[in-house]
Amino acid sequence: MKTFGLALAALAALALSACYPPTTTHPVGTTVGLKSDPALIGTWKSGPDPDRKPGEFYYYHFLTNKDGILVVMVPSTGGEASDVIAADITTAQFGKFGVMNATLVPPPDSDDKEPMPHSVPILYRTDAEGRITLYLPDEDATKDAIKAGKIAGDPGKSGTDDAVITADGPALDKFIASKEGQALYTKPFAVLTKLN
Amino acid sequence: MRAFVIVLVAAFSLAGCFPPYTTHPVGTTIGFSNDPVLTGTWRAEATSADDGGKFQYYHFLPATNGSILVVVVPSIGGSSELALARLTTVRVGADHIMNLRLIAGPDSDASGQPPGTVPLLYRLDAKGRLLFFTPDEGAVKDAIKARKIAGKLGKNGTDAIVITSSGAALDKFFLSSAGLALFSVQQVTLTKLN
Repeated sequence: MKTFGLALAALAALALSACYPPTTTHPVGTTVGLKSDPALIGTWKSGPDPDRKPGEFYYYHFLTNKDGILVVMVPSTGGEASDVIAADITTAQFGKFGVMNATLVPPPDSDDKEPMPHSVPILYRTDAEGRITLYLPDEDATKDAIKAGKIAGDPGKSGTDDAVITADGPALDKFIASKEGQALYTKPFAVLTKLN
Repeated sequence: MRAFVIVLVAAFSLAGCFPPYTTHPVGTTIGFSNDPVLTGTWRAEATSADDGGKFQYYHFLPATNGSILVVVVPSIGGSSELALARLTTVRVGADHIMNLRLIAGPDSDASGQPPGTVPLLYRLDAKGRLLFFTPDEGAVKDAIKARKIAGKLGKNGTDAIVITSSGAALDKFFLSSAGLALFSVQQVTLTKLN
């Protein structure tokens, strides 16, 4: 899970948590259409990160590729080669919000060759000023939803195991579009401002 | 031809031809050290009005093994324009030389390169901008033909020129005024962002 540890470090707030973000075995959005959101393409900078020095931030480079979008996250300063993160993403739109299905790919400084088996469903919203706020599903809320039978999945064997949502595409989309699904996304972990 | 150094090397790679390589890195007799001046993010200005304001970000990140990872990303564009390279740096008088080798990225393949690294000279100008220079291919060929340095010219005009001198001989040559004079082709100017 080192890769996810790096991702969390990059994605800021959850770095203080011992938990990892929930994943889904199917991408969110199969029933509404998985498309590359053109509004994402380009370079963005993340907002202030409480875990980094003042003035340090992450660059988010969203690049088109044959399968959707490749996002490369690079620290502005103070980072090391091992801090570079890359993920393949597909996006789906649900009215006022979108969901990115992010699959981490091995970083340049890794011996890993295979991408992670599941994707992380990241909710995003665009505000009136064009900024994008990213949210990860809350680990505990996701486990509770699984245990309550609201969505199919594996809550993990103990409090620190990762939650994996195994619902099929239609059930997953129905859940994410519902208030109960959106309630999983409680805290933003990054606010992105477009640079170019 | 794009004038962005790492992108340039990547473009050479895709085309099956390469800039001059050395089988040994320059600087083994001096010692490598991560040049802290590089660390951070730089931007390369667009060289053509056709680029529509598009430029490249150069992210230099130190690695724990004493090398530097450089990630070159277009301000906007496709993942095929992403280039990654690993490099070592050595100080040569007032200038520095980096030994650069492309590495595979999420959507790129670095196979097919000649063994070794590409030597690039860089220096800061009075405005704090970073200037990059590559060896002039014709001058390198002449130096090899004149036996000033050991190397292979390649079988035809598109094969890479590979300098095969040992580390000591390589340093002696490239640290001489004649050797440094080979770096006469300025490729790119980078401006520090942070």
